[in-house]
Amino acid sequence: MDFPYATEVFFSAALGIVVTMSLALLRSILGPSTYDRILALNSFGTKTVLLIAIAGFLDGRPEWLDLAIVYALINFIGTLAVLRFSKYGSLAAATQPSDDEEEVPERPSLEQP
Amino acid sequence: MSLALAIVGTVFLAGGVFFCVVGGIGLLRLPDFYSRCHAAGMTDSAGAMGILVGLCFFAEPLVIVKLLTVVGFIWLSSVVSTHALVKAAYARGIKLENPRVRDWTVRPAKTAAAEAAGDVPKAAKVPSLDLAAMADSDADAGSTSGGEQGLAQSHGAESESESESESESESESESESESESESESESESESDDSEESRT
Repeated sequence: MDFPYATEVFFSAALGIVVTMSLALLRSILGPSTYDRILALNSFGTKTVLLIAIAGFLDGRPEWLDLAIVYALINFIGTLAVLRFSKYGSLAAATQPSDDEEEVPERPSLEQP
Repeated sequence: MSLALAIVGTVFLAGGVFFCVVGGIGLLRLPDFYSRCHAAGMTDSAGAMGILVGLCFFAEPLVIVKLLTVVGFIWLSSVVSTHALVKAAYARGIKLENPRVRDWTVRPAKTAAAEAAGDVPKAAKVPSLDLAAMADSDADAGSTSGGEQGLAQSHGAESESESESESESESESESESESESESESESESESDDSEESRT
């Protein structure tokens, strides 16, 4: 690498991402509703992907990007799973909530008062 | 040549980190769940794109392919998960905090009562999004406060943040709408009637 300041650039980018991750974590702690927490955790997961990618370049091993890809996939599936759980109360409940409402079990109250 | 590429990549990285930090601040500071969703979605698309494309300028060809895969996947999954999140939150009844924004799928209480009495046919239950009426309600402070009343009544709660109303220059109509929303908790039907006669 001819660019002499590559390590500094990567390190400052990783620092900014860590700051953003701490802000998102603060929102997920403070968040008044469950959806705020889910949103903050989704954002936190995306920032983790970016942090893994930058850490790979910082360490001189860009193969860590495979981990970043896997983490992005898991983050997406995890967000949808948490949403589904908070909507139906179970990961194996009925899929269609609108037409026959008697079939859908009552959702537990996840929101903070 | 490599130095120029590295400088371009540094610029991309700086832009991505800027978007990330601004989105994080917005995620913490914005008053409303839906505006927080805007901040988070902005960060996911612009910030992630900036950082990963910036890393492309430092990488080898195979690594560039991997980076662009991550960019494409984040663009797809972030949009989908934000949409699902907003839809679930809206179905759950998370409310808008801005009193000057009217939720157009919520009807004012008076019209709903008239419909329950059988005056209005059921087919007009959800009003279509009328742009001319929206422009009118933006121009007219009275009808804006009407939308505020409908929103506040339908959700049964009153937002305390009047800072945006105070920052407006039109002081007379603003103070009027403020006093209306203050007296609303005591006499809902009365202020509704005065609202009806004024419009």
